[in-house]
Amino acid sequence: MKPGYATARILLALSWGVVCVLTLAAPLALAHGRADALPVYLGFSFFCHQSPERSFALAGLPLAVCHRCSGIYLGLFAGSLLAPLRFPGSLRGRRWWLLAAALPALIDFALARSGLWSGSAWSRAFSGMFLGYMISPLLVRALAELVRRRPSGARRHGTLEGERS
Amino acid sequence: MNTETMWKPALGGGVLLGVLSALPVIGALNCFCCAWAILGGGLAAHLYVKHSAAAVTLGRGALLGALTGAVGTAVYALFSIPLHFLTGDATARIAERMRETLAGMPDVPPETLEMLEALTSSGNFPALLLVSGLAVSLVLYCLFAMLGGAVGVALLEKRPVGAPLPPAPPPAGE
Repeated sequence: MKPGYATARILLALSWGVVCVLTLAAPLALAHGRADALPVYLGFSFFCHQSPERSFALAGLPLAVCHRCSGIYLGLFAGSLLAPLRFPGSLRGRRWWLLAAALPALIDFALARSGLWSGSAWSRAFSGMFLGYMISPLLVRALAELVRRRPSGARRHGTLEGERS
Repeated sequence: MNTETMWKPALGGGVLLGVLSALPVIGALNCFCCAWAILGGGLAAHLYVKHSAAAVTLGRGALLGALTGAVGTAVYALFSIPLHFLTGDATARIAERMRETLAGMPDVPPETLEMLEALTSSGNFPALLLVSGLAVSLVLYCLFAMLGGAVGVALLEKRPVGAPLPPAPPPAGE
């Protein structure tokens, strides 16, 4: 593994891990009558509709985010740790990659909005997880570049250096 | 290009992020995968790539995105606080929504409902709402704007690896 990648993976996994833990801890804390849960629900309410019928439940209470957001955060967390670091080198390849990553979530959303298919908890969660997992190598590569902190003169100015070597 | 030159694009992306997120209806689009944070990071990457003499790396894009997220959170705070006072019922609506949500759940302990009632009726509730919103916003805006910055560079930087810098323009007057 190239230098910096392990550190980048750990930093990103920690960041997304904290987000995942917060969303999971909120219902558990609430079920135990702890006031700490409310700021977490309030904080995430700016980023998610938090509809109880569209959220996974823990201890009988909904998570702080919906199915799709849970999937995205979990996918980003898992991808930070596990996803292979391959990413297309060409601009067209990158565009297709990102489109492919978002496609299941977009189809699931579009079908639900059009009324053709209401979707399910797992379709929303898995399409979100796929998106998060597929996009995480980009973040790992980007952060690894920052972590390496090579002098700018010595840096190869490739946007996606590594996959060509 | 050094770090100082990153501030201008970060400011551009951050203002877009912060202002649009603070607006009452438009801000709800953040429910689509933190859309404004990703767009803010993407805008900053676009501005940076456009004015950079050398090809921009993914790492630069991510750093730029993180800066955009931090600036965006500050702008969001600046805009949302006065908006909060202008639309005074917003806090009451959030409290009502939480009450309704919890009341509809069978497994909520009664003490939790009492706690919520006490919290939402106390004078500290708007401040708690603001602080918790800003704390989560800072984390999520930075992470998603970082993603937006990296995606922006991956999609917008067309120059090849190790491309030589273009020659400097001759000084004026020669």
